[in-house]
Amino acid sequence: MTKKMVSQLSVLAASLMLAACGGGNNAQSTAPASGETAKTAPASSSGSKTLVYCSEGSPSGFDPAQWTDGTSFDASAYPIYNGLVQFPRNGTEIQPALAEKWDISEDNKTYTFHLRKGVKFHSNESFTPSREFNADDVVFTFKRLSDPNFAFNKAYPTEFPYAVDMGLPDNIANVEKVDDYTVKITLKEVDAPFLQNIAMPFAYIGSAEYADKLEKAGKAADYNTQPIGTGPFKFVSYNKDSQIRYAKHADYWNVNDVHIDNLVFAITKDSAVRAQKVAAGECHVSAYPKTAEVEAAKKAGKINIIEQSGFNLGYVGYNVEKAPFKDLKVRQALDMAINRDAIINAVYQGAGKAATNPMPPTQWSYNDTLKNAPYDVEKAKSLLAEAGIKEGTEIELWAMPVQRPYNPNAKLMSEMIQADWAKIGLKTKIVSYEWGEYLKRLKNGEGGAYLMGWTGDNGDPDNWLGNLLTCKAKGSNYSRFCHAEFDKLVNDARVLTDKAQREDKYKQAQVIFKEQLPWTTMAHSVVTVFTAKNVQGFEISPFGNMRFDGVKVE
Amino acid sequence: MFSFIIKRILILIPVYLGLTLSTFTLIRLVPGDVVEIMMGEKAVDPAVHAAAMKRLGLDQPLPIQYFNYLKDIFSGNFGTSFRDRTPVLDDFLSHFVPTLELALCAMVIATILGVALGITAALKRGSWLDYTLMSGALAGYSMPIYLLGPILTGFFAHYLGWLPVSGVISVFQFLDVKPLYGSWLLGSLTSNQQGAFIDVLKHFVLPSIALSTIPLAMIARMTRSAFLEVLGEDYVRTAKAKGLSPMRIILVHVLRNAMITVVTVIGLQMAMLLAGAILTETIFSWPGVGNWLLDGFHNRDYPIVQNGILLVATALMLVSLCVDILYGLINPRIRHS
Repeated sequence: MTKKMVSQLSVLAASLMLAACGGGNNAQSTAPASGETAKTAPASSSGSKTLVYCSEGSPSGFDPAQWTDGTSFDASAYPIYNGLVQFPRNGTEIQPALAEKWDISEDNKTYTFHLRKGVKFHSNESFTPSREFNADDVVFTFKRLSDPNFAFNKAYPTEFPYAVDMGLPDNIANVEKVDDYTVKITLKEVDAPFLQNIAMPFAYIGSAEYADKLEKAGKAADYNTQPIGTGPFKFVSYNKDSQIRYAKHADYWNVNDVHIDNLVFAITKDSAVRAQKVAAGECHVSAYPKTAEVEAAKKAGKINIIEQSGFNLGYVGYNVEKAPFKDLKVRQALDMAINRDAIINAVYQGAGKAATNPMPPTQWSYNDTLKNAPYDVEKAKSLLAEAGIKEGTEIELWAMPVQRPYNPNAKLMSEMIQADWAKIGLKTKIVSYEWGEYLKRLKNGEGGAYLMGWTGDNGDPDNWLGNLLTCKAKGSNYSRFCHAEFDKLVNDARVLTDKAQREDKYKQAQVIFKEQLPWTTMAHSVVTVFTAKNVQGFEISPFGNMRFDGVKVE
Repeated sequence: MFSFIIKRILILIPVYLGLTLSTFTLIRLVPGDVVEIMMGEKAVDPAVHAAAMKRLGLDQPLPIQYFNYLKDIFSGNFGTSFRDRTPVLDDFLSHFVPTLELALCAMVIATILGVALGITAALKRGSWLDYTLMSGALAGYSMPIYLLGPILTGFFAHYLGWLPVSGVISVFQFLDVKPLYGSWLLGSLTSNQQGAFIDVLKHFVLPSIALSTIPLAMIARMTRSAFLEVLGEDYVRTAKAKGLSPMRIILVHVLRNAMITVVTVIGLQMAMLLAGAILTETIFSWPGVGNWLLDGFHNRDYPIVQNGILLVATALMLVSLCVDILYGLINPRIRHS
């Protein structure tokens, strides 16, 4: 009885399963029979070239002026827009882009940009440009960034944190259209890194005509979701957390540099899945693999692995306003008690290089005469004794709760430092907060010793020394380092336009940094990108950006 | 039945109020400043910070923020995301539909296989088949998705190359396909691109299997227990004594009564799948609601967390209501009591 019943029920279950799974097949097979015209062959099979980039996350939006994260810049600025000046794909020196050339006045305060002619904006379903790019677009972009009362900023209120951070709204005195292809930007004070700063994505040029149309239609916020730029690819569509699609901008002013017809960002948050997808041929380029994935990919040999020193620095900072870290001898002792090489081997697993200066070696003005203090436990102990620190003194070491390019494992790093400092008689309590809270508390000066880092933004030394270590650095000077001589050198360098003179001052400032030790510089990480074998011309930008102009798929 | 449904809906009002108050309070109790998190280690100018807080309405006292939040919900406004300023309702639908489709697919697999295996084990009670099936169910229940997912992709996608690693569609081949009402299945069906629908279905296979494992094991075990319990009831003995056919006894008398327990489990499991598919969504890069809520939480995107949870809860309550109605249909006594 039961045998028969089991077999009957099994047949019933199997039929239900087949019905459930087979529904799709039926529906699919009836589609052509319904008489609807089958669409032409998919783009990839009709001879056009498609590149799929497995990106690590969804962008915040497509208006590069208001976002600060690399994921958003990769999805907005580089494919869609151009700046007046830009960085090359593989360098940090600026080159002409929408401005073919520029003049700087004798007082170094007025920049006159001579604009490229014949540059066309993208179009989309709601907008077809009636004119080519001209001075009005530059005026629109810079007015938007620097004037809170600018009409478009009323229609679409937003913040421009990078522009503010670079001092643009405070320092721009005037943006003036001289003629259709000449724009004059006047600064209140000399700002040597100005050109480097406006080569950053936040200052990429938007369309004044498009903004005007959106503003009149009451749809100003579409500026962020339906972007129009002059860049190599035009925006097609975005499905959050799934994919972003771009098509080649056929009228791009540098169209010979664009070799793919369709660019797709397949959003794939898990790094192991990204690595698998490249290996399986489901995407062509993928970034930010973990060390174990790099090792596995090297062994498998199915994909290309591109590695480059990251334009970043991971460090242990010391709050110099707080005891016992305000004592230089204590900082020196802590610094020389850290076994840097052992930590780099464990934390970066071969993908990190020991750091000496508060900037990476590829940054111009890097002072290569400086050296780290040797690892010396005994000397560290005696320095602590000189500073009057008793054995068993408890200190705090704050560990970041997140993985960043400059520090892949802050927890492990903090534990190893804790063990190192125990050897000189200190009890180290590891403290960690949620990331936003961690940053807030550090800015409030609550931390003592802490792990932190920085990724360079614009290839200017001021982005490191000025942003992070001067007295008036807004918020990012977590060490609260304020040294008169250092400050004078960096601030003087900022207003010089002679590169050699600037370089000299920055090198001197680095010497003071090394003497004063507000940070123990730990490592510069190595940035790795996986590419499929048929991808050519992909280069890692020193800033870690993903750019697909110039890239070919064979 | 109608008054039963009305009663169930009325109960939801205090539930919703409690939910809004708890999500509103809890997300604000979690440390972390919204603007600081958005900016990371890059400095936030105090003026920029203050302007952002004002724009986001976070400069207001908490009771006023809560009042505005309730006012917005009652007027059908579910707010916009702090981070990317997209309407939360649109975001929810575009993420919930893929999750719902995945959960339904997983539930179909889990229910059919789970019920079939449970009945088989019950009918073969004490045999090697029973032990094998129940051990398998225990193993399935204990298998974490973060382990099962990579095993499945490693074998079926990497080694055999039969199925895609992750995502919902092969973007490389099907550039013109877009989701319709958040559904890639519908989008691929209406795109007229040959092969697109099959391609989307293929993408469903591995995440559905991964997601179905735990409910499958649960349903199999519950079905077995419920079946055994009903098999021992007097009326089954009576039915046997009356000489009814074994198939009739199983389908009409045993299955119907055992299904009350099984439907409860299915309802609960469906709710759990909708709410907790986060790991599967991460492993298979599925654009689902779990990942969306998690991202919202990480970014302290209050509108997403508050309203997203509210919307997910609504979906869960609807599932629960459906289960109750199904109960009533299976066993009218429950409806009347």
